[in-house]
Amino acid sequence: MESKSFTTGNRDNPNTDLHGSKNMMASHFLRALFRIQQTSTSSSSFAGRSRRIRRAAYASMAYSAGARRAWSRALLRKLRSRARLRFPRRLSRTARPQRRDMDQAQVLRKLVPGGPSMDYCKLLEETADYIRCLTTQVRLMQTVMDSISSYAHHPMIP
Amino acid sequence: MDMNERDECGSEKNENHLNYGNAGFSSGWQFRNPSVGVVPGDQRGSMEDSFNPSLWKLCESDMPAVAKPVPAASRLDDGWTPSDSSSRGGSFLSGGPAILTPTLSRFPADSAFIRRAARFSCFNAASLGSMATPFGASHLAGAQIHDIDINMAKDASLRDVEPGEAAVPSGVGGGHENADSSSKDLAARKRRRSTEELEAEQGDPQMAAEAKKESVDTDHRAEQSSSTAKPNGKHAKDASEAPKEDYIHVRARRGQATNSHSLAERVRREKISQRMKLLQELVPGCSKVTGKAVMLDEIINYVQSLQQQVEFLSMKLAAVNPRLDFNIESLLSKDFLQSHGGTSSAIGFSPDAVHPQMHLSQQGLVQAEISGNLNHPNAFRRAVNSIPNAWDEQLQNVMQMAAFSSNSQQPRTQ
Repeated sequence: MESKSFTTGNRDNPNTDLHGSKNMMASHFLRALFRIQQTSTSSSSFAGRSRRIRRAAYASMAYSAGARRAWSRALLRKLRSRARLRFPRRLSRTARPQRRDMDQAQVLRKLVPGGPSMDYCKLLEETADYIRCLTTQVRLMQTVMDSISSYAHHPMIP
Repeated sequence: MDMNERDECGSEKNENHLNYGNAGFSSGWQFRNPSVGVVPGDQRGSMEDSFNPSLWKLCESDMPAVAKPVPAASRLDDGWTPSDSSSRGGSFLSGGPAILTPTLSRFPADSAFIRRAARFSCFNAASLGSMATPFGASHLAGAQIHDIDINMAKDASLRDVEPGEAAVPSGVGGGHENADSSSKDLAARKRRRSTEELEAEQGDPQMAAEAKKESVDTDHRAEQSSSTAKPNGKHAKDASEAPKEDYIHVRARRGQATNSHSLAERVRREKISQRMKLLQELVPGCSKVTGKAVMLDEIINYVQSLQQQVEFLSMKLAAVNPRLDFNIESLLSKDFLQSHGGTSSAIGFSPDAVHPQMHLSQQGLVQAEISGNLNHPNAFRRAVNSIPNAWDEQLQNVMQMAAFSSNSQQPRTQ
């Protein structure tokens, strides 16, 4: 599969496994999207659907990272326990500038899954991998978005 | 030892530290001196050969895996200059072998010179002359030493980041290289200082005198040199990008740390600085930011913005999704369902999965995609192909396969 030779955006990435993981993430996410689209009826709420899609996005990220990373393990645990997937997504953390370095690690721990149980060194490492995976996922979703909308304008000839 | 416990790089690296910290290692250095001395200006390959057996004999420990890093060391050396700017850590492994040949011609004198100077016993005007003549080379030697250390640091971070197969030999190689360059670091740093002065003044005798003095100093006063090398290294590091790494490398790898407490502390700081550098490269617009606090703020901002983007895009997808009258994903999954039938394992994340979903491995899905007949192109594929996004070659393949496989079946509108 030519996907294995795909290298765009991976030049500076020491994680050489990212090619396969991107493929896995894409396929997993697409299948999840399909499932959500199938199972969502007209009565399903928009918020419920978007929550499910967001959950699917994080699940794809966690599956692509596998059990190698602590954050993906923590994320999978959270997903499997069917707990409500909550992420700090306040647009402005106005309180943050008041709390300086002593709380920065705390803030980061809340952001990264599995953060609270890591020491600072590991937290940085996991943050790096988490950022990589997040950017991949965001690009994937943007691509799907673009293709869907472009498809909507160019319907397939059956 | 705290350092070993904190070290996440595996037992080999710990063994390396222990072994290199032993007297056997230092005797190994001295043992290597004459061999180094007798091969002035050799190619680095032969240098490595002469280097390896003596070291392995001396260390006489169960380090079969450490034999691997020596070729990695040569790769590493070659990888310095071309990757000196940005992607040093990430690309040194991949770029090393590729650039081995072209840069080999430039390096041998430099690295040989470095090693010889590290030995301190055969530092002579001849080598110095050969070193001084390619002036840029001498500067490169200094820069290379930076790069070695930075590559070591990156290597350590690589080991931590990727515990997979690719990381292990490089990790062991990094550990070996660390030990290898540790004793070189002191002299290397001092030599770098001297080379920088050489650049400024082009005084051979002065450089020779200084390097000789420094080399002698380093040879005799291990602990003191480690302590003096730190400010020296930091002082001379104006051209370097990672002064902290070099500083910490010397002390950690020397194994002569007087205080194990401070040693562990410095190893920890080294690791943290490595990770911060990684993060600096990941987060856009952070290359010029210095200081942990600002950096952490940027990282936090970036992670939050990424998570917000995920939310936003999921909302958009939720809005767009039902409006599709021809859903590629549905076709993709349905085709696979039909072609493969039943092993189903519910993907646990979806709380309202109505029907059991097949747990498709990535390869299985790809197989399904490939097995779908590749039919005539269609408008959707054209639309997919027109996506200018950077990553979409990958996704386009997936989508195209989906389109193809969907075309192979009877066309369904929903």
